[in-house]
Amino acid sequence: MKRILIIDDDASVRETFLAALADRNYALETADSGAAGLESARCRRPDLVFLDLKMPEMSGVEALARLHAISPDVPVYIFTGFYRSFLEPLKDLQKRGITFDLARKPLTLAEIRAIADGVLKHSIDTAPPYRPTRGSR
Amino acid sequence: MNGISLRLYVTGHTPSAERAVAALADLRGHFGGRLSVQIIDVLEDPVSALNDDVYATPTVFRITPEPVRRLFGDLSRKETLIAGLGLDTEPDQAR
Repeated sequence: MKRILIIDDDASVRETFLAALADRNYALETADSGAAGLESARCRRPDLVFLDLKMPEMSGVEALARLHAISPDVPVYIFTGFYRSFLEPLKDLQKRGITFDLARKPLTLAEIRAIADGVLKHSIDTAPPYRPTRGSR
Repeated sequence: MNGISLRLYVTGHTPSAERAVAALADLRGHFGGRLSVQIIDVLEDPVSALNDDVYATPTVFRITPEPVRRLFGDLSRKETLIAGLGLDTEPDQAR
């Protein structure tokens, strides 16, 4: 099962993502900070990350740079306002070869589903196929 | 169908953007000189993305023929672009 990691300090945003993707066959994990998100990504590689740009303590820019060091090939969507002042710090990441896509905030449920389905259609499912052990139902 | 004008919004050179660019190149082979494609990096031109109500990258718009159509998601196949952007309509319908 493909795994989506949602990193945002705003509980209502995390709830929105969970609601949008609840009926999809994805494993969903949330983190309320960049540090918690990185810890989750270290434990198990996500197939897609939604990352808020503006967070206290560790910003989305710093979290993405660290995430890239852990899993450089994981697709990341940074959600933010499409304003130059917000986007300028991301150019430095791009110059360092760190790739990401952008999604504007707020996203509707349908838009969240469209992004997840669009990205994960092209990723390889890294989880091993389910094989029941002998005697299990 | 007369001239076709498309606009693709990307964020740099992500795998999804590269797939979309490749599919659009494939589309050029299909439509030849009738097709023009504008590629905009949202990091460089966020205002255009706001004006076009882009919610995520990569997104492609059919600008002409009108009406404007938007397509997001799997942009990796020529056939998907043709169907999703309504480029398979009869010439009289597209004018």
